Amino acid sequence: MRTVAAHGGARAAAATREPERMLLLAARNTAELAERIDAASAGEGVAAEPASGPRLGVIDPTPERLALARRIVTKGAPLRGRRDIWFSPEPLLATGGLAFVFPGLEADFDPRVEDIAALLDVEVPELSAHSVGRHAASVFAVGGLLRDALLALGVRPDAVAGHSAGEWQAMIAGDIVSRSDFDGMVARSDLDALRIPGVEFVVLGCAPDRAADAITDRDGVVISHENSPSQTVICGPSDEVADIMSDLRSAGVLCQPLPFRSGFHTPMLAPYLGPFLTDGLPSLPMRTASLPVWSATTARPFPDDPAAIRELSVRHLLEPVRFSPLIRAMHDAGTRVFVQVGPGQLGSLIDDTLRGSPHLTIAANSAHRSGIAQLRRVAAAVWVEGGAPDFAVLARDAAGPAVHPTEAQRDDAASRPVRATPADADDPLVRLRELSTSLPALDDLRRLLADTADAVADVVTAARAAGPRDQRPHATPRPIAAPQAVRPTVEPIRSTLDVSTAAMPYLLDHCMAAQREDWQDETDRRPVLPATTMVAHMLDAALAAVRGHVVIEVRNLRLRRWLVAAPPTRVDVTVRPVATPDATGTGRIMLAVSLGDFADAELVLAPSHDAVPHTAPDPWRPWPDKRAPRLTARRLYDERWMFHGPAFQGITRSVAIAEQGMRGEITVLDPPGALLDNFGQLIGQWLVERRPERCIAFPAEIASIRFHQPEPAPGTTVDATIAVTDCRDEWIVVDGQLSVGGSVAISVTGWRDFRIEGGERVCAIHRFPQHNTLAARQSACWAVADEWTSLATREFLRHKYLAAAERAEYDRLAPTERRRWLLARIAAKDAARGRVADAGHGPLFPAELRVRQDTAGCLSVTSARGHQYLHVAQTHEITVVGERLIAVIEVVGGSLSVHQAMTSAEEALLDRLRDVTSDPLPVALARLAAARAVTADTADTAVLSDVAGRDLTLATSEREYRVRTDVIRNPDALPARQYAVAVRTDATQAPTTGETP
Amino acid sequence: MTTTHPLTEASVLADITTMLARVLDEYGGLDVEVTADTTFHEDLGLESIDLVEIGALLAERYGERVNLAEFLAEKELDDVIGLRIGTLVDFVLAAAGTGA
Repeated sequence: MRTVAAHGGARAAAATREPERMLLLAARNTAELAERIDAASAGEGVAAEPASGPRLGVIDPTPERLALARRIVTKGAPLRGRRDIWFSPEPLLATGGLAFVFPGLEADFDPRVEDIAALLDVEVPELSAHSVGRHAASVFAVGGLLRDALLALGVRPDAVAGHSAGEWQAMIAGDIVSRSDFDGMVARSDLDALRIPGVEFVVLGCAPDRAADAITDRDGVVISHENSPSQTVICGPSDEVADIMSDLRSAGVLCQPLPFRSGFHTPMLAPYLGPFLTDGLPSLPMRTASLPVWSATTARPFPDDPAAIRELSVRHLLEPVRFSPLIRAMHDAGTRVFVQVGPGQLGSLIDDTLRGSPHLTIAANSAHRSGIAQLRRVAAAVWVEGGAPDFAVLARDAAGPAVHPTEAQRDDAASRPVRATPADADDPLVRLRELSTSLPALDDLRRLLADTADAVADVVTAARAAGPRDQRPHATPRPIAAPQAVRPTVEPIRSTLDVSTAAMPYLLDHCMAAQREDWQDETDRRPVLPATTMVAHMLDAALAAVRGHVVIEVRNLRLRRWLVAAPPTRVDVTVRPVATPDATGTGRIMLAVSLGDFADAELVLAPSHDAVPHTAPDPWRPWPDKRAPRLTARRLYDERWMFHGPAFQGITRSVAIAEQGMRGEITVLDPPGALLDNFGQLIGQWLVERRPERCIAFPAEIASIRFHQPEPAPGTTVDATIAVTDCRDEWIVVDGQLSVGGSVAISVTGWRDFRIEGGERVCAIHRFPQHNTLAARQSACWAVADEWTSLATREFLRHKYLAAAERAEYDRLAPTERRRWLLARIAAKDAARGRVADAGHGPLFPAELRVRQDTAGCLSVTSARGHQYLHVAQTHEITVVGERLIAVIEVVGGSLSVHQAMTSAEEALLDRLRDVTSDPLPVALARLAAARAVTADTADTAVLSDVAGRDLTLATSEREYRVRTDVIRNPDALPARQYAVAVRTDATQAPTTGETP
Repeated sequence: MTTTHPLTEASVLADITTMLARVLDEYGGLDVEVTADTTFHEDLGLESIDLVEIGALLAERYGERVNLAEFLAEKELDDVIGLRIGTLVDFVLAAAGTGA
């Protein structure tokens, strides 16, 4: 018999808190088990624990409950958790596997984790369900904490899976993505922005086929979750969904709308995915899983190939969660124990799916009891199924003087002697100590490394100690340290970097927003540090911290934000030694370097390049289908395909281009990082020539840059090749080689650029903003469509169009207003610039114009050329501006109310309009509706009285109105929709333009 | 099947107790005394998905008029989670009485 008490068994009798006791029994057969229950009731001790045979776990083993347990055991049927009793006649883990299953968002989220956080000595996660994004972040935090607790408890998964957003947690648990990358992503990205307006989720109490019947012929309604044989979730427009609910309820099917409305796992999300693809989970570095991670999209394990994983991570959001088929498949593959890593009802879906099949589900957290009390149940349940959890971990729950016998020893652990440095001559720490006699600064580094190594060793020891219990009859106390809890115990080495165009004059040749030559405000030019210049400064900081070394590799470079040099700023540079298994014994030093929150990377240093075990690769062979690039190096810069000024115009020859990549010759220039920046420009040229639909791209991350020899000095001729390994709408990934004299000096792996949205017009605005417009001229207005979904693109365009005062105005707006506000400014500035160009003046940069809104809602556009008043009208997709009153109306097939109210004379005129314009009826009606909207300044409805081409005349009893109409089609990036625009052309309004005196 | 006997609070509670025992069979049977104050989730450990089966059993026992789906449509999420057995009994009495 083993009695485990939370607060120290018999010795805890004096404790003020009532301990929660637990009885665990094993026997060779059920008869023997029943005998042992009797013996336990009688207070006798039984020691032997057979390797196989039935097992029983009882929380709070009172005589009454033991009598109940005995009846259950005698009956012989398994009981898994009901009334806090677990009985398994044939423990499932003898042959089956254990899986962690991570819940997604559930309507009811009530975790109990404070005591678990205290146990693990980590902070209690912030919990909130106020918005989808915060709710998700809380679910992730709780899932991560519980996972650490389970691992500390010795409950280890053979496979992992998740429901909905929980699948991301499974990807972390299986090491596909790193926890820190993921947490960073959650903190940075706005999950709330990723949703479809106007759709709802409803949980239906029926099987997917019944749900499929119910949504047939319902517009835009799809199945989003196949949860279990009795539960399916559908998603669709609110009104359609309401009808379905009403139908199904009258047929007796339970329906429950969910409180969150993201539209995840439906194809409707596709148009809104942009920001998520560039900044969300698919943008994170991905590796092959370290244990099977199951996908609920395919009901199979994730593929091994990172590109295929990434693709599946996108499908995950667009295709239904097939949770029930997933659980069935996992069971078929041998999973028998499903540990739900969070609170909630997910386990009931698993039970419903596996009804009648042997399995255990247990939640690692419950709203009904404390976090540790529930973990104790997990440990009991897993033990009963043949697992070997470490119950001693939970004994740390104890408070006050009543402690477990081992508790006292644990306190000693804090004052245990520092780990002895191994006296091994190959150990880098020993070598550092020897070197430090001549270089005192190295002694500090040695201490930092030793402390870090010590912290890592503790974690590894802790992880190993959680092996099978049988092998550790006297489990020794140990600190509980989850992997992410390893905080560096050492102070990093800090320095600062002054970033300004005075300190770095070459940045004037690296400005993101072109302006008139004599433009005064430097901030409007937006000088930014090239990513590779940031790398150069990180290298400098590392080499200053560890003298006498060279950097042989930059790993996992993440470029998080633009580092802008105007106004001047000062950035903290942090260098922190990290201990890694592959750094020991090679003389290498690994440093984590960050440049404020703008960029971070790991740098590998070695005494010299010769010490690098990975020798330089052979240069790649030319591609068979290569040809001469269209753009010569000179044209590349002269035509501003690259925005760089002379200090960064290092490509001196465009050598060859192919579908697989391109080659160019670079002459190394002076600015730090210029060589690699020029290498990045080759990616730009390849895009311009091969993928012009999105030709502007900026670095987001680089997996590895290896330096095989000292960096080529300015003036050196370098032969650079990029090999495109993956190119999608949102990003492009390349590998690369930079060779000097036929040998590879630098190898690049996994350089990923994100691509700015927008085709020709965006590219034209980027190159020559003074000569181009984003808005398109119509016959009586200028129109711009809201086709740029990513924040990165909006930021990019914002700096092209707004000067400092307007950017400040933009920053003061609520985030939800900014998009429309910016579109109105773009359209107004383009219209005004178009008018100036028509008059034979200009060119004007957009920033040279200032837009102000007057109280009547008119936009006043001022420039050195004068000012102009413009009227603006907007839908959620289209913004139009015109010189007089303007309206825009969507062309809708079913909206015939205008038609019904028409006189026969009007109908005849409408037919005449359609003869000229070939409009289908809904388009003609939309023109008329838009025209009415700009004539609605009297109580009378204006009647169509004449038609001349697309110019309409409308009349009331008092006056006539003349209106010009246009029809605008959405660009390809948006749903196929048309809009009718009407602008007044009669001269009854005040003049709206004027020249400044 | 529809009942031909007049329904009483006691008979409906007995019926529902039998249904709960059937739903709980998979989990080892009913092990608490069911009263009007017994709660569905906290006392019986049932989850919202189990209401699907309860709903089907109620309709089978009392006929389509006893439509749990319609009844729960009026409820807030918290009410569903905190559902008392007595509430179910009252609902059955009201619904089965309609048009009888």
